[in-house]
Amino acid sequence: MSALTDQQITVLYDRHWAMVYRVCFSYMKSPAETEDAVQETFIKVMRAAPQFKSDQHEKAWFVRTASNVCKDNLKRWWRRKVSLDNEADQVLTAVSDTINATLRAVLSLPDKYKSVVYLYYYEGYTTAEIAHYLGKSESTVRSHLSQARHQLKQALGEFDEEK
Amino acid sequence: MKKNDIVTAWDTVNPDATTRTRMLSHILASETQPNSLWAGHSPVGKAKSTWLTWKILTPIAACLALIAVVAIPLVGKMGVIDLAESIGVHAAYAKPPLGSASFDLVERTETELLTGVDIFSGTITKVDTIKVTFSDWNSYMSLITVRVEKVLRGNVSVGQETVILVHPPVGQVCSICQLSTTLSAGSTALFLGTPTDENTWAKSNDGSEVFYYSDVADYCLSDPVRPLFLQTAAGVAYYSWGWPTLDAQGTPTSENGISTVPSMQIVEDFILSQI
Repeated sequence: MSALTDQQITVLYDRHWAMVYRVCFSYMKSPAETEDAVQETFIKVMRAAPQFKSDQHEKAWFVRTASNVCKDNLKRWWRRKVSLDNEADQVLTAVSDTINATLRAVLSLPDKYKSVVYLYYYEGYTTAEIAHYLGKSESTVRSHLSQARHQLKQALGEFDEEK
Repeated sequence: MKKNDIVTAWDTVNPDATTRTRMLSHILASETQPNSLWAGHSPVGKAKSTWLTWKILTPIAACLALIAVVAIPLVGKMGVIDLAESIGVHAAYAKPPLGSASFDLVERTETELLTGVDIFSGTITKVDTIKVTFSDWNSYMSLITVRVEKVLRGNVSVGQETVILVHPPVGQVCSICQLSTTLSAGSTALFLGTPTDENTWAKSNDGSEVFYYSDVADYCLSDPVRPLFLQTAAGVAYYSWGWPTLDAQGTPTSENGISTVPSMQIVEDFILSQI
């Protein structure tokens, strides 16, 4: 295992920061807590210096580490936790009510569904890839997607798969 | 709703360039912090450890060491705290951190708030802030020493001094610290103290380092507002949104969720009726 240089970290950061930020935001909801979680995720990669076997392995490492960092933060005895109604409003600016409502509904999903929804719909990964990234079985990912769609339908009305 | 609404919605979660740069700076800086347990393994640190760097840093380090030697005895309490049970962490007296923080509460019923706690009132005789250093984060907390004057329930005696851990620390500006942040020596309050034991702790992110609250305090508070009933000039202040039953006797709730009742006796009668 070899340690990483500043340059290597910067390259990894440029490649993955946006995905890591959104994964973390889906859990933490607050910009401030999201920043902390993103930093923790990249600090973990600096310290662990994993040897990535492929692009997929690299992405999987970041998705899974970011999720674990957020889950650990959420499990603390009592934690910094900001209500969606307050700080999430900071990012819900200058967009339509429909989009605001959509993001709120997605962020209100149970934690185990949010990252699946994000990776499937936004990043465009297949359920098999998501299963690999999150260390879950493909059937579990499909089940989570199905449950998430059901809840989104309840919150927002009919859910149309077509773009 | 259409599938691309989700894509558009996620597009709005897009921090600006300043945030992006700030995060990267913090990440890169984290590896060069002298307090990091991993600093000795840092390749970044090694790359920068040139002769010129040491030539500059050595006199600075010598000056800092001299200042520390002179200053530590003067400030007294800036010393390290012995931790008997905690694993892999350091704690020391410190000043409260600057800046503000936002918090929210895990919803609990009145019954839940009154379960598993010792209930007593008293006067605060001392407030200290400590900094607990984990390898991957720091946490600030306050230790308030209370001289117990009345016990409604619990393993504590009138006249005894007991120490309560408060997190976030007294003095920290935060969204739900309306009561805890105003505590000071001389304050009188009723506390719902959670006895500290092996189940009250803070951990590092990977769970390998544990700070047991029992190393520094007899009790902790489950949050900064609901386990406190604070005597003020206007009456006994409490967190209205946590105590709806008591609220029937309280003043109209202020914008930050605080109400008052005229006397501590009302609070005590309410609690005794619930336990």
